Amino acid sequence: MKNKNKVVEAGKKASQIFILPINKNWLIYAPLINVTAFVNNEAVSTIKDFILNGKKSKITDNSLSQLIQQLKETNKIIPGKIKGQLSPEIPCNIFSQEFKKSRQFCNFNIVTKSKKQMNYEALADAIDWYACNIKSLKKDALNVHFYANNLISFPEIFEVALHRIKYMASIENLRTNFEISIGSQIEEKWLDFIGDYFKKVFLSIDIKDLNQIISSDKSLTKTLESAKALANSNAQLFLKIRNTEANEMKQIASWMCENINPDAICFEYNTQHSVSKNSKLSKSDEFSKNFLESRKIIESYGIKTLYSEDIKEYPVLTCCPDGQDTLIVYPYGCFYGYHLISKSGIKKASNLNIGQTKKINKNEIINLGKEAIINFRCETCFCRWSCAGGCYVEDEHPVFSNNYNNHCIQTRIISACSLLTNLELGSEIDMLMAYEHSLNALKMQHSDLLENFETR
Amino acid sequence: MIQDLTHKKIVIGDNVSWVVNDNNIVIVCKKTKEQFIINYPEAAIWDLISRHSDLTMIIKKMRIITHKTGIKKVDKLTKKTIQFWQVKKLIKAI
Repeated sequence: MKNKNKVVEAGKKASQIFILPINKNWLIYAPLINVTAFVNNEAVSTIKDFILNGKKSKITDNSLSQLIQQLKETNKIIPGKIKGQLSPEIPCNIFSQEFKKSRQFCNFNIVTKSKKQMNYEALADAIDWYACNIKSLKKDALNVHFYANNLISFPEIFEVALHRIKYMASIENLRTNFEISIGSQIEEKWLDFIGDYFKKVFLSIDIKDLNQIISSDKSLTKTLESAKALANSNAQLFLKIRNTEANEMKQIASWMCENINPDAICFEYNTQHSVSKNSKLSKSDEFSKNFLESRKIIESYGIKTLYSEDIKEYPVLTCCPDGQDTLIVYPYGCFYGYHLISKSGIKKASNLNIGQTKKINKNEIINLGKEAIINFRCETCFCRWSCAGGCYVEDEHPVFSNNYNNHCIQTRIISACSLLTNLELGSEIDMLMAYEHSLNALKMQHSDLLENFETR
Repeated sequence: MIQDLTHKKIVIGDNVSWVVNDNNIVIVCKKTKEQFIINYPEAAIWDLISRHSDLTMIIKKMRIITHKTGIKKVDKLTKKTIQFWQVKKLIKAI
């Protein structure tokens, strides 16, 4: 706990202006005041002198002078820890059943002995508690995300839960927003149900299925048929591509856009994914390079590409729902904070189970909000207000190691390229990806903070 | 004449279409041009019927959907609603 407080204070003292080597120039990035600029070596030294060393002489270059003024802005948006009552901004998650497979959704990792469908009573209790809580907080919507590992085995739980929520919403005069994550094919009659009631559908597709289709021109698998039907429904379809071989990402991207036409495609980073045998690139370089090229292809179809740790419009304390106002409701009706059951031992589940729905420990619920951790190692990384440490459960927290891990490196590359794309500097991205020494300088820079900048 | 639906699957009638809105379902009988706005909890019954549920299953699910309302009250509401839709030829048994 002492460490956490230290980190928060240190974060406030640091300038939070980051500087990244991009080929022969520099990218200035101040996420807390939403400023990004591309400058040369000389300009960085001037900026450092004026911002950190208090230099006050006149600058002849107008655009540089304006940039310095912007960077001096003190009205920073610092995302803070959640305090007080639980006030879910992001969905309450309902799991229909326990999972056997890990990393199925959102890097979730639960090891269970048996499949078990959620008990209807527990489900209704959980929904009632959530609706009453939202009403008492004077919020106007019930936001629920359903996790349906296997919609074929337990479809009824979803229709009952959804209608219970809608019924409660009608009584309490609340709006409803439903999202669903699905990991399998869907029966036709459920496709209409999903299209009618869910705003967003996250469909995970194992890439091994797709390889067969692309290479042999066979008919669509059931899962892909479901994907196609959902893309034509009222729901927004987000395809989550699992087990991607990095060197196949572009082909997969084109195929998905041509044949499925979803609203967005997300390539899930899989720590197990292999790099093509002949590649000289590292895992993270290969993933980033192919992700960026795939993003170009996907966006040429007018489709979004998602990478959860990418640069965001607003700074965030964490991109992991853990520590935010998210609850998961387990099949037995237990409430947990997100990701709090983990064999990795980062979190101790024992003191974070906030109770069965019939005897919820309100103090534990309030304490959940305090669990957001500012990642100590991320303090000097420019991704600290967007990636902010990534998944708390699956990604090896950088605090445990002195070097950036694979996930850090690919996130640094993808995030820097997103910033360059926003500045319409595509040629700089091409150059960055083409020259190993440029890429190494970016991905391995020990500290991105302006105060640690040294003229090169 | 009202059919006994106890052991039969109930489906949406011919010439009937519907739209799911945020708070209700709007049903239109193309033949009679009649329009029905169905609020909750009845909207849930309509949705369950649209996937060919039988009466027993609909009643079972409606008891959960209207949790704590009282079994007798819910069963009565469900049967009455279904009967009304049957009279209006919005649904039929198969």
